[in-house]
Amino acid sequence: MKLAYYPGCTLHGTAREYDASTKAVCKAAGIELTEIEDWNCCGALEAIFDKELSMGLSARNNMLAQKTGLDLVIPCSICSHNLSRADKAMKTDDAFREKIERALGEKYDGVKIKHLLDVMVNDVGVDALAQKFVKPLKGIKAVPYYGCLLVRPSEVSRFDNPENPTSLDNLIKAAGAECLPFTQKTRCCGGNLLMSKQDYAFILTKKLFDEAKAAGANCIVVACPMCHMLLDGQQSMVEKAHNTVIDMPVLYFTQLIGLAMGLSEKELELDKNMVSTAKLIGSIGKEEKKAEAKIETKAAMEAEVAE
Amino acid sequence: MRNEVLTDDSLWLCASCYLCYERCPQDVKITEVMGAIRAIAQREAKAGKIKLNNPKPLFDNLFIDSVRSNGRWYEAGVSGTFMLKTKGLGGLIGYAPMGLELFKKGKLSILPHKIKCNNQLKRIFEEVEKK
Repeated sequence: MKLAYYPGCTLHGTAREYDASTKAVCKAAGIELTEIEDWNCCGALEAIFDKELSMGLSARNNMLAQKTGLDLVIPCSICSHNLSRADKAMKTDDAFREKIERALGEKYDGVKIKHLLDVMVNDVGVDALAQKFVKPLKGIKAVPYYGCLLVRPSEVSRFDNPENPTSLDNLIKAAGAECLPFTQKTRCCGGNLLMSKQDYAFILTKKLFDEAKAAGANCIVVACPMCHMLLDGQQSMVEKAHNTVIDMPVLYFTQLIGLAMGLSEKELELDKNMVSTAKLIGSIGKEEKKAEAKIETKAAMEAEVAE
Repeated sequence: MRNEVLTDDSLWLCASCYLCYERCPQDVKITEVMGAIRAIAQREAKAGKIKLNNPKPLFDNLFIDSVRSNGRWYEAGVSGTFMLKTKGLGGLIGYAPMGLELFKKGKLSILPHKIKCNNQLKRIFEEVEKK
């Protein structure tokens, strides 16, 4: 499978481990990525006060993707939301399309845009991926966190249920990890308020940690760099603000399935996460080894008794 | 009523999570309505008719300006300027340990990334800002 690739600003910065692990698992899954040349920022949620500007910024990227003749894959939920909306607007709003075509001097016919999770679960397929999972992640007890724009609004993101999505759940289970029920799976992490109203943002983030802990999770799995920024990048700040210890590793789903594929920690850049992932990775298969050791000792003792 | 709406802080507390948008039984596009009211509030504030106390519009404008001049979001520059403008030098210094941590992990670039064809972006800005 060949796809055009739009990483977005964060994957070239604070979410570099998402970029690295995306490339690594795509290669392992037989997907050839071609990064679109000279892409620009989609405006994130900071251009929401000007719908045309927001979609105009994204439309240039769609135009660049069109030139590759390939479908476009995007790992960031915000970018994926913006570029999908821009594609829709270019197809349905003639006045808007004319403005953009005039600015760029090119015609637009449309591009098929998908979030990376959609590609993995629905195009590659969970069963086909499971064939490549060589290392069952026993010992990882994960809650799947989808956040907002990955599944909402459903008129833009159509690949999963907006109220109770299950694609991440299915991947976690296929990887041999335990997937725990998580009632906060589509609630907001507060990301958009991080700079302007940090105390409010952290109230929302803290709720996610509380629920994840109550569920018995030892990690949170995400598919959005903004969610990761709040849950992983800002975790120490949330701890400080709420005078508590959280100590919860947060993995990108690509890092999780990469581990199950037997890819190295270095390839998946697991050392770039702000909250250490070492203890979590060390716990993989440990309970099983302990159980095996117990059985072996028991068998040895029984053999001794028999003698 | 108009001023009450335009100056209310809750306008800037919307996290654009689309939960109400998804669930509204009357199909009101609430997140987009919020965006539209924000645009009006910014315009009136610029004209000196109202005063906005929430720092969110400042952040949005710094963000968009960085995209306008570079083509990409300049994280270190935008965050640093925002901290300095809203919390002063102390705020900027308070933000430094986090910035340093990110820098050490190779996650934060001191200089902005610039795209090659920024003239294309300039023309898009011109087209959509022609109102």
